Amino acid sequence: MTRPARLLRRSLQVRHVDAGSCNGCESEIAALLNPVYDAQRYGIDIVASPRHADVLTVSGPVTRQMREALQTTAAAVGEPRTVVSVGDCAAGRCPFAGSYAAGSGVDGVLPSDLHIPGCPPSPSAILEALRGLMR
Amino acid sequence: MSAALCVTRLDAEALHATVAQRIGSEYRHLTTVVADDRDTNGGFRLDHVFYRPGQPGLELLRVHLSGNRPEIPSLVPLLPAVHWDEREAHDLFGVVPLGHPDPRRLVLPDNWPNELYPLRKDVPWDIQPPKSKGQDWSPLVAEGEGVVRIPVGPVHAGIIESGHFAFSTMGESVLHLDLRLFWKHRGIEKTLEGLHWSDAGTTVERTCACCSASHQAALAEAIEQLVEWEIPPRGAYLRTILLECERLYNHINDIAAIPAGASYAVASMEGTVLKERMLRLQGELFGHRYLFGTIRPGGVCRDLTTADIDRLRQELQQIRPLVERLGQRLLRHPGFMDRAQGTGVLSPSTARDLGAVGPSARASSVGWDLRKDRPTLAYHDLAPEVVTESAGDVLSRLRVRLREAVVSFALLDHLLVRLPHGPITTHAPEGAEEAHGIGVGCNESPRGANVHYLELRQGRIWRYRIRSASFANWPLLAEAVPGNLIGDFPLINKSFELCYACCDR
Ligand code: SF4
Repeated sequence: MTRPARLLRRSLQVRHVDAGSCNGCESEIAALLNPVYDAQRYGIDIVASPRHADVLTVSGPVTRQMREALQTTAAAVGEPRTVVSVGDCAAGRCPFAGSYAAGSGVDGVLPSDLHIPGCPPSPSAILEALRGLMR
Repeated sequence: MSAALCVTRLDAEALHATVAQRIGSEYRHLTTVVADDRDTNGGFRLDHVFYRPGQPGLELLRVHLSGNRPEIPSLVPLLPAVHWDEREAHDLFGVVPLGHPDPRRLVLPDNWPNELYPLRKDVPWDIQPPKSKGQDWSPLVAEGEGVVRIPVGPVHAGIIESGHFAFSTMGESVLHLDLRLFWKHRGIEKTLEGLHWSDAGTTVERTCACCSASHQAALAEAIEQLVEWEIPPRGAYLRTILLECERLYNHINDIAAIPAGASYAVASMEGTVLKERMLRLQGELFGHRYLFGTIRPGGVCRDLTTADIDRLRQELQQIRPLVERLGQRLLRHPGFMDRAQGTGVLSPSTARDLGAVGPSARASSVGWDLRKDRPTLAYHDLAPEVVTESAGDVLSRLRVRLREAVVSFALLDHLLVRLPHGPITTHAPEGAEEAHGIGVGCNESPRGANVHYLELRQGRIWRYRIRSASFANWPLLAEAVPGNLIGDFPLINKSFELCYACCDR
């Protein structure tokens, strides 16, 4: 696994791409920034540009229409980068995976380094997984 | 066919006159559905579904379109609300809307081949056609000296769902906005085809997490209507409680998101804490933060104990004044008010003509609410007050949500106090396993009318269409933004707070 965070133990900059989620995973990732989870206190932040990111999180099964946008965004993240797939859809485990439009998960489009299971994974689970990258 | 649906068969020539007559008699459009019936009658079926406030039944205006290359004059000049439905039917079934003012591709990916219509029955569910040039989607733009085009998305700067906005601007002002959505089209409707109705829930509830209870309730109602399945009073009340909890946490989310669009972080953060509190409560009492797996045909999946009811009432009583305080904080903040007032105006006539639904319609004086206009479940006993505002701006949309949240708090308390005793679910009536026919379930989701059309053959899904509130409302955003500053776009967008997942399916 590429772990840029080993170099940057106190700072993890995350860029997120929704590749066809139901918005449940987005809602839980967004919750990391509320005062309850407050990921920033651990040095984790969500950044506006992939150019600023160490980690790319991806949710959804990677729809046919999002495939290229995801690849372009990933290519814009500087190396070394870590790709984290968030939620069961991103692992191809959703009822519509394999349909004419849905795609079948992040693997096969991008090699991912870590998967956070759940539908959706709780904000604590996401936070724990991201903090794990910093240890 | 159940008594709740009345089918009027028409030929294509008679459709316009009949629709005009229905609109003139206060009927409202709910959904438009095309289905592939070529195996049984050599053509396609087009159903326009209408309801009339105060009447429980729905009317389906049905036209048969024969052959493999169906065409029909577009209804858009008469009923602009169907402009996206017709484009979708063209993409997915190849039904050509003749004279449509904007016949561009809507739903299918840019690299999807032309003339391959994935919802036709002879196209396999898992077809993966090689990339093709497809139909070139080019945005509608303003032209002229000094006009600057700003493309935004599909990947946005924040944690936002994927979609593309094409702005044409002059200086700081937006002249025109065009939308390219459906980046998240997952083929959910085709995925449902062939499933037994009893297995549809896990797919339907994943259409959109934020409207999941509403989607589950619409599926359940469609089946219950089709097989004439009476649900027990406690089940009906609990389902209503789930729908109102969903409305409440979504309204709180939106009340928090609007100040974020105006860079008022303190108020926004206060709102996100309250949303988290609602989600935790839902996780604790209903088993899932986003209410997945809570509603199934016949009733609900989980009962509330007396202790649960007390806990829910107490928590809601504590959250309510905090939401009201947040509302006060916003409405008293001169800087915020300056941003919100008069920004992103949607006129009542545009809202009405384009078929706006939900808080976005009610903020522009269009007082439509299925809870009152076509009550089901416990809404029969406890019809909530319909809240409207008239200015149609960001502030009005915020105010509607603040006032509706208060109504929902009161409604939830009533429901919890009056929760009837008895079972929460019942067995399906005889013959339901093999049921055949059409059911239409609809309810007022947090964002407005959510309509599910279900057709079964021998108990298995033949056609399913979801017309969510966001599908109805996205085009309104393109109407409300021009004339405003580009910097106000996030604020206006958040005041509509539409789901991409619900729309794209
Ligand atoms: S994993 Fe579950 S919550 Fe996440 S996008 Fe998929 S369906 Fe939604």
